[in-house]
Amino acid sequence: MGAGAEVEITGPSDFELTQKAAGGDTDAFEQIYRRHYRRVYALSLRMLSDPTMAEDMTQEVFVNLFTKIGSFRGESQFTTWLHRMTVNQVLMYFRKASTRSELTTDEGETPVQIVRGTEDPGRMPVVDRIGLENAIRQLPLGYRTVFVLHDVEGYDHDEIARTLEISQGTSKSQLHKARLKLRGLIRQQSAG
Amino acid sequence: MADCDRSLDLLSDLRDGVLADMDASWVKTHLDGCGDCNGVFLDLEVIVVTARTLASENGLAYPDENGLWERIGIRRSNVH
Repeated sequence: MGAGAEVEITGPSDFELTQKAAGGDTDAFEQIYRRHYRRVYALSLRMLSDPTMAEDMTQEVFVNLFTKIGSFRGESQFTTWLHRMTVNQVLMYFRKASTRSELTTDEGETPVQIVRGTEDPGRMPVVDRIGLENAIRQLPLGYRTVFVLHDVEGYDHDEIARTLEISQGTSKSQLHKARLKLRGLIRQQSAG
Repeated sequence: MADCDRSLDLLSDLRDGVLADMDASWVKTHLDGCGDCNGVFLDLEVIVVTARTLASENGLAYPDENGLWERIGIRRSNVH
């Protein structure tokens, strides 16, 4: 599972810090925050597509982390554990915002049409990170969530299905539609 | 045209290597003879490869580290 760029860690391990933080050592918790807040913010931003909401979400994740840090047993990498906690917290936000139906349905999107004879392999510009980020922000929520989890963060369909409580078939379908939609958006960007 | 529709439905699975052998063989044969579908397939590959680079945390504008920590501290004191 992708968890972003690795940060060079010096000093105590994440697990050591979590143990101290669980015992009430707020300095240890602050070290954890400073090591990992970028990771949490980056993931939140990609899922929420809004810097202010991503900052709020980062705050919420670390508040939640503080209350639950004692439950981290070191059975997995701390970054993986924190990554999953962040994803779950964002999904909880989506559900509270009554957007769950957008996460679980294939409906409501016009199928991507490819008109035979109009395709030119050279027409989609060489997409850079900024162009792709812009296009991702324009995706419907359900598409964006599956695309970010699968193609950016490296989840497989089984993990996505369990996380979003959807079928693997729906996950695959949403991913494919998201990619085709992105292709169209990138072409539009270049045409504009 | 029907072949193109079927091909387009299967391109992501082909790209991700999760297509059954028979279907994969059929799509590959179709792509060899269809520039339109092959163009879409290549574009999807570019999108997927570029997406993986987004997992990096470099190049983003992050919120103020100390300011955000202060906000967490305020919330934390509310919890306890």
